[in-house]
Amino acid sequence: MLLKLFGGLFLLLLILIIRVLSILPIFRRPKIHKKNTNEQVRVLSVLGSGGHTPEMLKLLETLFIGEERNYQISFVIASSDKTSQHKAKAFSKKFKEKFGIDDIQIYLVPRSRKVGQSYFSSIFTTLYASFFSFKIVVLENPKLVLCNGPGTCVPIALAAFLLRIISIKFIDVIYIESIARVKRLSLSGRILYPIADRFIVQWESLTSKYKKVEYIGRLI
Amino acid sequence: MNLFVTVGTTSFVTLIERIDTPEFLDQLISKGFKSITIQTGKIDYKPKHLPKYQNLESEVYGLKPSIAQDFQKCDLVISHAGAGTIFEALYLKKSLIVVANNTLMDNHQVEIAEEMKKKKYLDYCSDVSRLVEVFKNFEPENIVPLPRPNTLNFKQLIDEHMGFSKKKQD
Repeated sequence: MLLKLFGGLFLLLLILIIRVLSILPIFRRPKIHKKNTNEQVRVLSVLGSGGHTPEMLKLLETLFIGEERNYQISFVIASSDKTSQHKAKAFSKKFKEKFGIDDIQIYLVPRSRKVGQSYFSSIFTTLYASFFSFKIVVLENPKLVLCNGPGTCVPIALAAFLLRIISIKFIDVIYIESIARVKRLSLSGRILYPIADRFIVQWESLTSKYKKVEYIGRLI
Repeated sequence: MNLFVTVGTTSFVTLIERIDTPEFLDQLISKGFKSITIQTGKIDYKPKHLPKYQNLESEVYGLKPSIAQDFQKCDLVISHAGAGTIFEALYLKKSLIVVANNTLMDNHQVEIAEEMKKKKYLDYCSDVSRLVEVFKNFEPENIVPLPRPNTLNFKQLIDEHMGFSKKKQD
């Protein structure tokens, strides 16, 4: 009886491992969507302390250039990150006035890791943040997750990836490494490198070290 | 001419202390600077030597909601190696000397400072102890203007990936 149980669990684990390996972007070519005609793409963008928010907002602005309103943005911000919340609201207001788009939804999550927090304790705080992150990704139902490095983005990107494993929906994760990273990826970058569908860097020096990254020039 | 010293939202006491020395301030005067603005960041700093310089106008503060004006009015910036500060100064076409903060634990900041110095977009001081020397030898004419970024490439990549591209997909 016990043997059957273990056998069953082992088989399940094996299937899961094969499934995960088969869908990991690192083992597949970049999946570019077939031509999208009308559907607006919901984008979940993660903001973060320091330079992360200003960099992300500059990138997001470009998505509104031109006549088409192809994207609808919502933000995920750590609840203790008041500066980013303030900047996000200002961005939302500016774009509402300029382009007539609706108020941008802002989701708050507990912080995954404070700057300088020990890596060991970060495991627990990240797990805690993960429950909230998973809920947000399910609720918001984005087609695309954009992150550029703060700890907050790791559980969000992982939640999107988890949903893909259990085949509920396919959410793309595109990661843009900060301009501050010249010789080596950030910790978040290294964690999300295997699962990101596209991984963009802003210094050519990183392309020789990491095979999957794309350099499309300095973006900010 | 005005010098703007900024450390963003960090704490970089050793830089402020080095600025506030006769060694540096004498050099500042001899280079023709008439005023200095020091943004000290998270710390509260009371200058010791600066007040003795009657012919040097000065303003010292910790944090302000926006330091854009202080950037705009200055002729030279001396700052920590934060990427945000670096780009803010360079977008405004200001001459910039960036100083590494070697008291930081994970000092990835120096990577961007070194790389940008290689390209001559700014001058870089690897340690606070060398600041006076670097400042003395700094020549704005040798600085290369920072080229504009290719931000639209991001839109293009996202559009293509999500299927909005006007290009033919094969």
